[in-house]
Amino acid sequence: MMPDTTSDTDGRPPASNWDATRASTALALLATAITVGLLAVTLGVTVVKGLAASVTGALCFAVVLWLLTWDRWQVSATVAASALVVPAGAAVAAGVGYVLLVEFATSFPASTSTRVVGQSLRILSVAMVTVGTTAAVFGVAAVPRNFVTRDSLEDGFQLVSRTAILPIAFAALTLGYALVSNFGSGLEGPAGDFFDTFVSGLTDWFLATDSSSKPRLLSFWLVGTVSVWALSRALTALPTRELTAGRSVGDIDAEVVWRRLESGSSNLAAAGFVGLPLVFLLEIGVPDSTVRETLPGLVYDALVALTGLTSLRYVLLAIAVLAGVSVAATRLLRSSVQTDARTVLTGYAPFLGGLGIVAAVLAIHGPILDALIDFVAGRLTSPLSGNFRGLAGRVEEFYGSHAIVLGLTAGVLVVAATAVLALWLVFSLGFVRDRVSGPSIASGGLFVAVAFAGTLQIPFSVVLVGLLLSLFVWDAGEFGVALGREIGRRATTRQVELLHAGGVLSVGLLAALSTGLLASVLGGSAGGSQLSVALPGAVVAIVLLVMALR
Amino acid sequence: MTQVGRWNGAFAAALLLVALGLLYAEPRLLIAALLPLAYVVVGALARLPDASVSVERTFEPDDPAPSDGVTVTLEVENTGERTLFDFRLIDGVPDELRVVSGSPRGAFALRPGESRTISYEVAAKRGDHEFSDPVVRIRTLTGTRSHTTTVEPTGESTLSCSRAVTDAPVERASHFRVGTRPTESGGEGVQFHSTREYQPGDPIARLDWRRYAKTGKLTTVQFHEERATQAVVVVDARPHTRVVPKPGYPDGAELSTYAAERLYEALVGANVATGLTALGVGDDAEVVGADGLPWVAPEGDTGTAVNARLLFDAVRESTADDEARPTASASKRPIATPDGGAPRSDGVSEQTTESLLARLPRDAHVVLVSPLLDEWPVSFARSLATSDHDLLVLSPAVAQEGTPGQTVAAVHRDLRLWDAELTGATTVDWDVEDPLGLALDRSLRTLLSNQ
Repeated sequence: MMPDTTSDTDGRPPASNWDATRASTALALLATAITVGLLAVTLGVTVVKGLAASVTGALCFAVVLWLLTWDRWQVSATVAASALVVPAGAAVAAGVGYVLLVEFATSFPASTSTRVVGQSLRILSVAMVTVGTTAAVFGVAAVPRNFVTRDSLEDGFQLVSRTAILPIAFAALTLGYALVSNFGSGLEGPAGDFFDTFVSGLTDWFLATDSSSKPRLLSFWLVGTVSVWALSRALTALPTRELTAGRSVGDIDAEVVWRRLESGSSNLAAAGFVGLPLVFLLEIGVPDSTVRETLPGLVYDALVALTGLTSLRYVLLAIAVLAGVSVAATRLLRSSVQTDARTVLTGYAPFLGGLGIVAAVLAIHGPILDALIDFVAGRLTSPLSGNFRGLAGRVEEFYGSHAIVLGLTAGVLVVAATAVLALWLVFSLGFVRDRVSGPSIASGGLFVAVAFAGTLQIPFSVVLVGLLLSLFVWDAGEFGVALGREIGRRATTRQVELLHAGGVLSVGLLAALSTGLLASVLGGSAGGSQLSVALPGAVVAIVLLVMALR
Repeated sequence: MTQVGRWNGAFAAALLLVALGLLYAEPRLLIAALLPLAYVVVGALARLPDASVSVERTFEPDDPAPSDGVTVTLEVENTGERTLFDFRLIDGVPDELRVVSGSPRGAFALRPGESRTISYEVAAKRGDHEFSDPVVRIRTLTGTRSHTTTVEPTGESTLSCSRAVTDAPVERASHFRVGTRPTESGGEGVQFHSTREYQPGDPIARLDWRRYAKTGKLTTVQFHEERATQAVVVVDARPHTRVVPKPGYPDGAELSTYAAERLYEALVGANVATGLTALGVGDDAEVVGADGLPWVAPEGDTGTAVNARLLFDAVRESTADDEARPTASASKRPIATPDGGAPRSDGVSEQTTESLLARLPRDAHVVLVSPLLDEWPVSFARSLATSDHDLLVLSPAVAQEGTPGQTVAAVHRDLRLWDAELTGATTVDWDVEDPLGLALDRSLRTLLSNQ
């Protein structure tokens, strides 16, 4: 982080002095790399490809959070972070998705129903190995600078959600437009008929475009009230008071006129909202014949003409839309003026990033979608592949490639935001502390990955080494963080770090050797059913012993 | 003793393995659960040794001048019988001192009888600085238990930086010629100046008898009038001079005051009638006169030395008052930059400058001690040149090259030194990295050789 490079004027060490110490950090990084490498080599090429993508995404996510901690170049860093969100999310999604796809393709169709459960568990294991490894790389990347905290995750969530707003809006617009423009030919059957009827009915109701000869009082009242209310809000929000102060047209004081206009429109809108339930009751409770009989003929005809005037509805709706835009623009400008430029730019930077993502997608959506379809179809077996290509072709024809890629991008952003939110929840619930976030995530991720890898028939020695190293990552990382916080990087700490690491590794090696020996002895002598009963009992006994010791 | 729950997560890890082993019917995972549990067991069984350590602290040099670097050395010895695998120590550096090199913290392992050394350097500041006892933390190898305590060190615990003013800064000061100063006006003296017509009352010894023999007219010989040597030391301690050359070092006002104090004492010690004034003392100080200027006259009565002491104390107090203010606390003291790093210049008012010029005795040699961080010293030098006063500018270099801003500030200061020289002043540039004695030596040589 940038402020670390300079010291304060009081001569105190820079903030980076209190980061995790170098030797322990290096050991944690090395242990993580060895474990990930072991898993990749053991689990095969498929997992390696998926892991490569998801690990790249994890590193991108780490860079995003690191960029958010910059104090200098904050605007540029925020824009860069926004631009990195999609590659990060896409890489993780692609990595996990690829592994799941390949495992799914090789596991199904299953021959028996029993195998379905087994294959499902296998797919779950592979997915968890990928997710765990991804989390581990993300966590270990944060160890040297400890930038993954609850606050930075809050900032990260804000960034991702703000970045996602424009892609989601564009995706919704393009997908909605495609839906509306194609629903006649695209949606068949009762659902299509219902949708058609609903949309046309709503349009007719609001714009009074049907051929009814009755007064359309409720829709007219609603449109009029909303229009007047929006107008009153716009008059209040716009700087009309400042502009009209002291001005007059002839003998008329402009300020007084504007004030009356403001209060008049506000009162009218209030009356409209108050009267809305009455008009609703009148519309549904009083038959048209009664209204016709009660009102004089001329008044009734005028009411029908007025409430059925489509052009007037358009005018009212245009006023409402313009007023709404004015209010939004005025508020935006006011808040921007009252806030310093850096805060404003930092606040808008994610939107700029989102706009850049939309522009990039609109520029290269065709090749992206083709590559994506070819990639997925290429991983599936022949009947599934054909079906997928057919389905993908129909969907592309209906929505258009730009809408689909925008939708996928928006989906990736939503997934990314959800992942950040989930991580934030983990921090908020106290499972991970800010101080040791990096080692905790790295070690936890590695442990989960190795544990699930242990269900995939890999050599037991690899499982033991993986478990040992994942625990070592926690120990070395936490030790480095605590030592850095207490003693700092300026002091010489390497000897004590290496001694501690050696001691902990020795304990782990002894335990791993003992465990391996026990496994080989039990595996050779005991039967399966006896083992399944004896082992949980032994483990529970040891847990109770440890608790008693503590 | 504190128990650290470092391996609590290992419990969860073991339970995860058991759960997975049962879910997947995988006995190997059940056995693997023993691995994390082993760490929990070892952590629970680990015990802290009875620690016994001795610490000795030394300062080098033990009597530094302000801004000098002082090396603090801590020698730690394990006097117990057990090895300390994880021994951490933090020395109690006083808040007002800053560590400029090394670290007062250390972590190492200590075998029985083994000793290790921690050494670091602090920038000295005036006064007595009490170091608190080092804090020591011992942890087990697995880090599951720790014990924190303080150890009373042997050796030194107070860093005194009060050398100074009573010491003769320059050994040769007394070797310089001292006494009276020739002036341009004729009168009593040794060196011939002019002759004039005899006036009744002229001493007979000054009659030019040869001319009388030749011309028969009585003529009186005049010599260069000689007066007692006078100097006035002007200390520039205005708030905006309170910037530091480097983090942790004394600021410009402190350095100027210190240099002025030693120079004043040296001049007095060399029998030069020396006056004293200071800028930036504040109006409420005891020594401030009616014109708002603190003043100790060069030829005052027996209270001169006392008044000088009072004035220096007042300058130091005003600096300390500024440190106490939250807006200009010592910890946030700016490094010299020309772009707002230093507070806005609170220049000396014209009235104050005029009062100062009016106070200066005729022919007094003025010594201005200032870090030259604004234009006032140069304009003051010009005023002195027009009033025919000799000027010596002694300037501590608090604006040093570093960041681009500091480099610009240093260039500005160099230009001001140059401008001061162009007015006829003698300048002495004191690099605060060098001992003050060198700068004082040059200053005194300039001052006394002119006498």
